[in-house]
Amino acid sequence: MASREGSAVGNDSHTVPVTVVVHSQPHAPAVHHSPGSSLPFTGAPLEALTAWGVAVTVVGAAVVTTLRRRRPGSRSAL
Amino acid sequence: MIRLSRPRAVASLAAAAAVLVPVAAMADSSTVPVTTVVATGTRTLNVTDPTGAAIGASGLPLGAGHGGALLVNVTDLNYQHAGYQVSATMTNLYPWAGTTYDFNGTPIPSSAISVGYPSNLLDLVNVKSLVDPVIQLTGSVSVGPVGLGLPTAINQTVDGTTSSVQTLADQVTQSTLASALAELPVTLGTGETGSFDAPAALPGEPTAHPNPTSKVLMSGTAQDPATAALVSALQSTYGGETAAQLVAAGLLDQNAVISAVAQQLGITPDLLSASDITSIMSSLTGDITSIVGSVLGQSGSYNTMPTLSINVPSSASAGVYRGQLVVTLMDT
Repeated sequence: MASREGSAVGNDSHTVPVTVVVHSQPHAPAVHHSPGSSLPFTGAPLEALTAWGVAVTVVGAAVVTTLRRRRPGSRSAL
Repeated sequence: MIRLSRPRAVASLAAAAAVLVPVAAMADSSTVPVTTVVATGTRTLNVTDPTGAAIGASGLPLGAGHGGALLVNVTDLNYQHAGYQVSATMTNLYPWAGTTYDFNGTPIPSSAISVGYPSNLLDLVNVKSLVDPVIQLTGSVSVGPVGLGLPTAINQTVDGTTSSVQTLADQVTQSTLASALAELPVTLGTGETGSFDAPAALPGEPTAHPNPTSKVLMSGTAQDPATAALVSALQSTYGGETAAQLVAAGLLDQNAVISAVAQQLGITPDLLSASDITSIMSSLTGDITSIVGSVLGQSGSYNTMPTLSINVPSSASAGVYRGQLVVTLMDT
């Protein structure tokens, strides 16, 4: 760095005050969850949920059908 | 014996004095002050709001609704031929209690503040180079009593006095910078972008910050502009003018002209009468043929408009925060 000559002074410097006004935080910070993140992942793919739901429904319907079929048989046995 | 010897001693001293007097006269001396001018101009830094007005006591407002822009200007006035660099550091922003910083409060870190140049404003105004021109004097002069002196053709080259030359338009913008680059005595470079990752220290701040992030806002490198452009600009302004006009314009020193002419006439300048000098000064004309050595300095105004933006952390409490941007100019 060269020095100045004549009436000029050494390195010049200006200080600028900077202000920020924080009014309020508009909403909670957005947090993205995904499998493998540090937060526990409790969700399951929608397709899987749908498949289980269908399976349970089908099983339930089969049980009801079986019970209904056995009742007439039992009566005749009596 | 003593009485007899005194007259002899006096006589001897008198004789010695008589011998010494002419010796002292031969050793006479004359003191001649010698002066020279080195570029002693000034280089100043100005930091203002975008309109050129001073930034108020409340500071540069950042955040939503505020531009955060500031105008950074470096102005040279016949300053020595040197480059420059303008850089900036940023402090953390502490809760501001109206007159003092609350150092116990949680600050907004300097890393939340970034500098950029969305306007792409960068310009140079009235750039001039400080040079010593070389002037060729030609013409025919007649010296001595009227009617007795024979015309003598003069063709002498003399060094002119330091002059400021402008070869470019008043304003060079970023779009014309590349085409004007070869004619600039000092180039103009764009600044660095990004965040102030490490803070600078505020006055009174209890935590030391020895290695703040420094961002270059604007820089320039000294270079020798194309000589042809300088010579051409000088020639178009002064070419063909008489020696008297060039002296009046500050481009020539009269003694340099008279000395050069006397040299070609084969006489010492003191033999030239006042009318001879007047005749010489009005008979000779000058052309600028080159410049002596390198550029000596420059005048000009260099501007950029950086903008500060802030990404307020979600954890920041409501309130007013304040910090400092320190802008520093250095020669390079």
